[in-house]
This record gives sequence, C-alpha cells and structure tokens, in this order.
Amino acid sequence: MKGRILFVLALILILSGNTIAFAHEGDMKVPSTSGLNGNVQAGHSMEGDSQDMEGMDMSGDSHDMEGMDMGGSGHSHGPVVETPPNVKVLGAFGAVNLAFILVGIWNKWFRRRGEI
Amino acid sequence: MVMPTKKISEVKNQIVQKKPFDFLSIPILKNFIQSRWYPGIFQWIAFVVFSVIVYELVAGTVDPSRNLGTSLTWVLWWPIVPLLFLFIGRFWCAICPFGKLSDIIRKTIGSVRPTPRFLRKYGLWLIDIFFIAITYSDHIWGIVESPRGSGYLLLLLVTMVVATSVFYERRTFCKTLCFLGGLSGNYSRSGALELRGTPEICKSCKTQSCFKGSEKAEGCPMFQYVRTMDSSADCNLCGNCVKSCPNDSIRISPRVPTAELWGIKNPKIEHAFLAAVIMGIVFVQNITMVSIWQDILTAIGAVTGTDNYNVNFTVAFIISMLIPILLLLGTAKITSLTGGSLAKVKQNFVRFGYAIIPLDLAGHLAHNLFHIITEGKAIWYNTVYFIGMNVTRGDLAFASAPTVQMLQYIIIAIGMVGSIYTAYRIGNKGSFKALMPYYSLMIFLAIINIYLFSLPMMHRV
Repeated sequence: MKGRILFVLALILILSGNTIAFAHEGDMKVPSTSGLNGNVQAGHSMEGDSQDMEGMDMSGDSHDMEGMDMGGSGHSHGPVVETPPNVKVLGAFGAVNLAFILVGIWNKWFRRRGEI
Repeated sequence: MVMPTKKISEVKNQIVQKKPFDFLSIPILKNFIQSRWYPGIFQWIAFVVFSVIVYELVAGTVDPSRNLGTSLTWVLWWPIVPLLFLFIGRFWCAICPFGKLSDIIRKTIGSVRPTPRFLRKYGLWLIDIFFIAITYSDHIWGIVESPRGSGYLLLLLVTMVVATSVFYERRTFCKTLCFLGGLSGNYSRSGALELRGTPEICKSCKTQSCFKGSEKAEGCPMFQYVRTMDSSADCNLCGNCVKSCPNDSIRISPRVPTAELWGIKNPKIEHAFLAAVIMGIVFVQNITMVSIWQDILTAIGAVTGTDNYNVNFTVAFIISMLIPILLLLGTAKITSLTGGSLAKVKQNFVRFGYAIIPLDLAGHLAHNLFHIITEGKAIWYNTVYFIGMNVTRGDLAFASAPTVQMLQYIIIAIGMVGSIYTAYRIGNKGSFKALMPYYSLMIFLAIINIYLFSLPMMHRV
C-alpha cells in the first residue's frame, strides 16, 4: 500500500514538473483539418514562424498551411479569443429536450394515467 | 418455472469441467454484480464526469489544448474506449452517461412502446450512416478541435437519447442509433470477455426473466435473450440477467480474442460493411493528420479543378471509404473466381468482412495511442487548472514519437495476425492457396496502416 501511495505521489510529481526532456519536445502542432477549412481560431496563424516539423519538408510554398500553429514549445495554440457560451444554441437544445420531456410527462402522467 | 437447487448444482457440476473459467464463481464479484451498486456506482461517476465535460465544452475556454472537456473526451476517453471493448466487452455501454440518461428518462416519463420496425430493420445501417456522417462533419466543421463543436455533438446525442427514451422501450437508442454502439458491437465481437447462459439450464427455463425482467432488475436493455445469445456484440454486461436469473445460469468468462468471429452464425452485410468502413475511417483520420495530406489535397484539387477544401476533402473521404470496401469486394470476387470458395461474392464479402475487425481495432488503437501518449499530459494540466490550481505547463508527451511509432507498428502487426487467423478460421481452416486472397488483403491493409503511421502526425490538442 505504501508503495502504491509513493508511486502515485511520484507520478504526480513527474507529471506536474517541466524538467524532463522528451524527444517529442520539438514537435509542434500542424493544422487541424478545420483550420484548413478556414474555421481557424484567432491566433492560430503561423505567419513569420519558420520552425520545421520533424521529418516534414517545410521549405516549399506548397506546405504553407493556413491556420498552422508553429510557435513555441509543446503544443501551445497561441493566443485565443475567448467567446462566451452561445446562449441561442444552448437554448435551442434546451427547448427541444424540454419539449420531448413535456411530451413524455403528458404521455405518462396524464394521457395514460392509471394504465401502468 | 424455477429449477430445483439440487438439480441446478448437478447440472452445473457436470458442465463446470468442460466450460471456461466463470468470473461469477468468485463470490465477492458475483455479490457485487447482483447488488444494486452495480453498475449504478460506475454509471453515476461517469454521469457526473460527463456533466462536467459538457459544461466545460460549451462554457469553458475555446482553446482545445486547455479545455478539460476536450482533453478528457478526445485525448483520454476516445483512445481508451477501444481497449475497454477488447478486454471487457461493451461494459462501457453499461455505464455510458447516454445510457444512464436513457434509463432515467424511461423510468420516470418513458413509454413502453416497442422499437419501430424501421429502426429494428435498418438500425444497423443508420448506425453505419451516422458513423460516417459524424466523421465527415468532424473534418468539415472541426468538431474534435473545437470544444464548442464537441459540446454540441454531445448535446445532439443527448437530444436523440431523450427523444427515443420518451417514446420507446429499453435502450432503443443504444441498440439502433448510437454510432459508438455500432463500433463497440463490432469490436466486442473480437473481445476477450463473454457473458453466456448455460444451455443445459436455460433450455428448461420457463421464466425468461433475463429478457422480461424480474422484481430484482428490468429485462435486458439491449433486447437480448441469453438462452439464444451467441454474440457479445449486444451485451452490455449490465448484470440485469445475473440479478434476474432464478437458475443461476449466467456465466461471464474469458475467451480467446477474435474467437467469436470465427463462426458467426448469422453474418450480416451491415456488420461487414461497418468493418470495412471503420478501416476507411482509420485511413481518413490518419491521412488528414500526416504530412502528405496537403499533397493529396493538391492532387485532388488538380482533378476537381478547385482548391475548395470541402470539395477536395469530400473526394478524399469518399475514396478512403471506398478503398477497403472495394478491396474486400474484389477479394471476395477473386476467391469466388479462383475456386477458393464456392460461396457467392456477396456471401464471401459478408463472411470475411468480419475478419477485418481485428485490424480495425488495431488501427483505431494505434492511431489513438499517438494522441494519448503524445498529448496525455494535457489531461493532467487541464484537470489541475480546472480544480483551481496553477501548474507550469510543459510538453504534453509521455514518450517520444519514435517510441509511439514502434508501439503502433507492433499493434498493427498483432491486428494483422488476428485478422489473418480470423480469415483462416472463417474459411474453415482451408488451404493456404484458397485463402491467399484474404491473407493478401489483410497484409495490404496492414502495410497501408504502417506506412501512414510512419509519417509524422499532428496533435489533437
């Protein structure tokens, strides 16, 4: 039991630290398909950055990918413009679900009252 | 009619010598499964986590690398879930939050109306279509990369669950509409766990409480009748039958992975089609994340005459879906022509389509292994941030890319062996020459996978 606790603590320490060198550290995020589609979040532009992805030839123009996050270490997405929850969409989901629930209540508690 | 206890013991003693190990022979495990804590305790945990995930996705940060919902869903859950199917069958479906929601709705305001004939007949095709549609829309609208998109997808599924649970009995949604249900059904066939009845006991049972339910638990939510159940594809391991069976007939046993695929009694084209489609989806997921994707888009653009991403992606998507389907069809045709199998092309397509499943599972696992190993620490960072602690964010990877690649190759090789052996068993251990086309198909599919995994891949978060 002691060993397990120590193992968990060690795991927490390792994961929360930033000192271990990983071979993957130099990698960067290449574009999401949605990014290629133009649905790029603000701040995902790779303009001006020239880091090459491991094993990828980035020298030609054909490899310039709009929306590619090539900056920084790790898989950082760069600055992101935060948006509040979309109340209209959530409201629509809520309304549709509520409608189904009301149908269920009417069906079970009123229309078929006493049948079950 | 309930069998006398003495008779049950005699029959069980006779059977126990020739049957595989039964996990229900472990008293503590059996008592737990028969208790009201199972699977409820897991369901509620999953339900709470799911609620947090949905909240985070629709109201949290829009940065996917910092959104807890995104990392828990696409970096943790999605890679792990095929492993669960492999080792413990469809247990996930028993504790799935959508399933729990369905149970709550049905028990409170639901109807006991039977599943419509249309859904019963075409449900598997609908699952196939939904699975393709979700994959397609993910690439068009970037659902995975967008926390909001992922949240709306989950809410759409919630709506479907609510709608079906209000109107129809049992888990109609899980059985006939859930895209993950189709996937899990196919994967669980090659899984290492099975729940079965004891035929010698079941044949004299008159209560059918496994299907109809009892005062201890409701009937099988997946419409299964244990007496005739010969597949793990539709068994959630929810334990209802274990609770209800008055004759102690149920057993849960380990088995050789892929064993169920060797002798499917009633093979269906929908399953074979889905198996081929999943391979196509693995291709799409890999291709769109590797370095040659731009070259492929450019090549397709040269043919279509447009650089519109949606158009060119759609062409690539259709080709990726068609490749495994046409390859399987072509192999079935070759086998029929060369006399390797006397069955018709369609029969061969359906029977041997199941042999692709181990390779599907391997492809799915290998692809997602990359995400969980190279992005896994995002789960930790985002969880810590979610609970209000500050932590220095570093690299997200647990291991290097070459290490992951090596693991991917090993997994694909295991999947290939599994698929080849499954083809060998489906072909009734036929001669090497007769089954050569299927072996070649599996090797070819494995080579495509290995080639794709050899290319640098991008991250999800």
